[in-house]
Amino acid sequence: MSIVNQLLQGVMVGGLYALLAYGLSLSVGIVRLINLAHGDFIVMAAFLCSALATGLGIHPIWTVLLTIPLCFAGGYLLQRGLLGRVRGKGTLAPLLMTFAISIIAQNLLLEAFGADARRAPAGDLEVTSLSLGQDVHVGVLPMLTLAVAVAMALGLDRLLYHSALGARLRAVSDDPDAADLIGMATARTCAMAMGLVGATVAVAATFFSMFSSFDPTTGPSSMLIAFEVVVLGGLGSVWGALLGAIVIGLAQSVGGQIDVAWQSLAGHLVFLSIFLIRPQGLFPRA
Amino acid sequence: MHEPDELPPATVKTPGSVDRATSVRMLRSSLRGLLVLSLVGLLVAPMIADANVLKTLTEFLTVLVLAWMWNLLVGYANIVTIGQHAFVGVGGYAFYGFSAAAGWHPAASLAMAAGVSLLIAVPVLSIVFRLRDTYLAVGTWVTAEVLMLFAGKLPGFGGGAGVSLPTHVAQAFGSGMLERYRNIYLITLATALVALVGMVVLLRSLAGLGLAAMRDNEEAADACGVNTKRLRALCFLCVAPFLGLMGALVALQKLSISPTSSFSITDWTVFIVFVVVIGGIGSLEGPIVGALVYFVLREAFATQGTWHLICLGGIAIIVLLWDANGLWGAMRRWLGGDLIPLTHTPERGAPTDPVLSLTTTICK
Amino acid sequence: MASPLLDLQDLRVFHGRFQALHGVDMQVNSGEVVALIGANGAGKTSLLRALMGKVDRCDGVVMWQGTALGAMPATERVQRGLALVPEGRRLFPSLTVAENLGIGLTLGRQRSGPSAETAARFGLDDVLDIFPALRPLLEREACRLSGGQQQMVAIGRALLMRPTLLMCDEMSLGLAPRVIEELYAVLPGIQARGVSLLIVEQDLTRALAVADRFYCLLEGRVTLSGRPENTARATIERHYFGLPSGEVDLPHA
Repeated sequence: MSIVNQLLQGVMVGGLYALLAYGLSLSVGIVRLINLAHGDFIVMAAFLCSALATGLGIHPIWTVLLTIPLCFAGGYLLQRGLLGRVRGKGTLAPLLMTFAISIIAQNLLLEAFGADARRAPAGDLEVTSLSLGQDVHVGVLPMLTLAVAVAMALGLDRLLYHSALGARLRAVSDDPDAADLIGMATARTCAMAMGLVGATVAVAATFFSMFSSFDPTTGPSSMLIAFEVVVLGGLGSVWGALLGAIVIGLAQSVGGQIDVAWQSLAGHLVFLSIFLIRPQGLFPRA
Repeated sequence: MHEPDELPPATVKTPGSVDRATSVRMLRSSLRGLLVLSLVGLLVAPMIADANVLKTLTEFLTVLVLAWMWNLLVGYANIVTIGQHAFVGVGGYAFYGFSAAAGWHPAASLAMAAGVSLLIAVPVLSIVFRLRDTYLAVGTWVTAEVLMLFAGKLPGFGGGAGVSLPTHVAQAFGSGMLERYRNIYLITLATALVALVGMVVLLRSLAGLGLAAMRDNEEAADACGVNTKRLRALCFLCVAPFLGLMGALVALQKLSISPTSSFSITDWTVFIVFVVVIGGIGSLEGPIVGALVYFVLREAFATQGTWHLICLGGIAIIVLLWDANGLWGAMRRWLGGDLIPLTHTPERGAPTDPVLSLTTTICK
Repeated sequence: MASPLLDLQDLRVFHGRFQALHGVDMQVNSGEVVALIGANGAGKTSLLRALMGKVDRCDGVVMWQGTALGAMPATERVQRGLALVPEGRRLFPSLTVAENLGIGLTLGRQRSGPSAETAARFGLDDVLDIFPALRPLLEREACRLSGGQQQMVAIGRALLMRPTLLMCDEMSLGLAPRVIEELYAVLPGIQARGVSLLIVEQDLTRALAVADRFYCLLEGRVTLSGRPENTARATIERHYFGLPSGEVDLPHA
C-alpha cells in the first residue's frame, strides 16, 4: 500500500481510538476516576451489539438505538450503586474497585460467550471503499468511524461547555467538596457523568465490534490505548483526545510498516516518548 | 485508609469491660501462639510432608511474599502499582538467561535474577515516578506490557512461545522430584522469612516512621522533613529483587519460561491485589489472612478457574465497600492492635535503633 | 412571639474525636441579621457546616422553620431555604461568572417546602443590580477574578438559590477594607427583601454594625449574646478574646 494510504489508514484508526477514549476522558475529567474496567465495558457492549445484530438480524450500526440507553443506565447505576460509595475516600479504593470489576467482567464474559474471538457482521460496509485519487483508497467504514469521532467530539464539547448540565459536570469536577457544601446533588451529577460515559461506550463499541475481532480478554489492551490517548491529549480535553488518538494511530501505522509485530509496541513507545517530553499532554485544561 | 496502630486504653472499668479486655488479650496471645506454631510447622514440613503438600505450601509462600511486597509498595510507600508482574517475568527470564543460556550455576542464577530485576527497576523508577496516583498505576501496567513484548522478541529466549528449562538446571536442585520440591520449598521459605524480618526492621525503623507518615498524608510528611522521594525509591528498589527472585523460583517450578506465563498479570498481579485487598492493606498480617482466604477458596473451586476469579473479585468489592482496611483491618480493631507489633514508641535517652545511621541519611 | 426561623438547642459538633461545639443555643428570627463572632478556631465554621449537614457527628437539635433537620442531606436543606456562602468563596475556578451564577439559579429552581412561595425571587438581573461590577465580568473564568469580585459572585450564587436564610462564612477574609465596606453595604438591601442573614465573622466592627443581634463564640461555647446597641463594646471584646473581667482596655478602631 502506498504511503498516503498507510497514513490515511492511521488517521482513521485514530478515529476509532478516539471513540474508545472519549468515555475514559469523561470519567477522568469529571468524576476523577480512572476506570480500569473501561476497556472491558467496551468489550461487553461490543458483545451486546454483536448479539443484538445477529439475533435481531439488523446491521450493527442500528443496535446503538438499543445499546445507548442500556449502557447509559448501566453507567448511571454503576456509579450510583458501587463506585459512588467510595468516591472521595482516596484514590486507592476506586482504583481497586474498578480493577476488581474489570476482572469480574472479563471472566463473566468468558463464562457467557467462551474464549472465541468474534466480530460483528458489517456486511457491505466492511468492504466498500472510496477512491480519492490514484492509488488512494479509503474504506467507508474507517471513514465513517472518523466522521463519528469528530461529530462526537463536537457534541461532547457542546454539551460540556455550552449547556447547564455541562456546567454542573465541570463544577463537580473542579471542586466536589464545594459542590457538596453548597448543596449540589453531586452524587446524581457524577452518576449522570457515568451514564454519559456509558452512552459513548455504546457508540464506540458498535464501531469497535465491526473494525476488528474481539474476545473477552480484549478489554485491557483497549483500555491501555484509551488511557494513552487521554493522557497524550491532555486531561479533560475532548479535542485533545481526538488529536492524541490520531497521533497513536499514525504511530502504529508507521510502526506496522517497519514490522507488523512492532505495531502496538510502536504506539506505546511514541506515547512514552511524548509523555516524557510533555507530561501534561497536548491540550491540557487550565 | 489508615487506622491508628493502638486503640486508647479503656478508661472506665466496669465488670463487663474488664472481662472483655482480658478475653481480647487472651485472643491476641493465642493468635500470636498460632502464628509461632505455623512458623514451626513450616520449618519442619520438609521432613514430614509429601511432594504435593510441599508444592501447595510453596505456592502459598510465593503468594504471601508477592502480597507482602505489593502491600509494602501500596500500603506503606503509596506507590500504587498494577505492574509488578513485570519484575516477576524479568526474574524468570534472567534466571533462564544465566542458568541455561550462559551456563552459570543455578544458585548463582537465582541471585542474578534478583540482581537483574533491581537493575531494571532503576530506569522504571525514573520513568514511571513522574506520574502520580492512578496514573502511576497505569504507567506501571504499560511498562509491564512493554517489558513483556520485549521479552517475546529477545533472541534465544524462545520468542512468543517461550522455552523449557534444560533438565540439568532443575536437577541442580535435587535429583528426585521430592528432593527438588523440598529444596525449592526451603529457598522460598527462607525468602519469605527474610522478607518478613526485613519488613519488620524497616517498618520499626525511622524510615518506617516516615513511611507511616507518608501513608497518612504525604504532603504533611514532606513538610515535616521526611524525604518522600527517597523513601519511595528505597521501597521500590527493595521490592524489585524479591519479585525477581520469586519469578526465578516460579520458572524453576514450572520448568519453562514464556511471555504469557512468566509475565502473567493474572497470576502475579490480579490475584495478589485481591489477596491484599481482602486481607487488609497496610499491615503485615493482612496479606497472611488474604492468602489464606485465596487458598481456601481455591480448594473449594478447584476446577473452576474463572469462577475463582469472579468470587475473589466480588469479595474484594464487598470488602472495599465495607471496610477499606480489609478483613485484618476489622479484626485488628477488635483485637486492639497488631500481632506483629510495628508501633513506634519514643526512646528514652539515646536511640539504639540499629538502622538509624542508614536511615538518617535517607530521611533528610 | 413568632417561633424562630432557626433554632439551635444544645448543639454539639464533633470532628472525629475532637469536639468543636459544646452545647450551643442560638436562634435566628425571620427578617433578622444575626452575627456570630469569634476568633480563629472558635467553632464558627463548624456551626455553619453542621447547619448544612456536613459534619462527622452532630448532636442536639437543629430546628428549621419548626422542623428538626436531623440528618437531612445538604441538597434538601438548600431546597428548604438554607444557603451558604462558604469560607474562602469556593467558586468553581474553571467556570465563568455566568456559569457559577447559573449553578445557583439551577438550585433556586428546585426550591420546595413551606417557604418556597414567600422566599424572595432573585434573578440574574437582581444580582447584577446588587453587584453592578459583575456586569462586564460575566464571561470571565472565576479563577481570574479578584478576591472581592469572587465574593460578590459567591454571594450572588447564594442569592439565586432563593434563600430564606443566607449564611455568610467570613466574608471579609483576605479582602481590602474598601472592598469589605462595599460588600457589607449591600446586606441591608438583601435583608429588606425578606432574606434573614447569619453572618459569621472575625471582624467585630463590621459584623456588629449590621447585626440586629449577636452571639460571641469562644472555644465552642457561646460566651455572650445580645444586641449590639445594648452591650458595651468593651464587654464584647473581652468575651471575644476570652479575657477575664478587669483586663486592660483594648484600643478601638
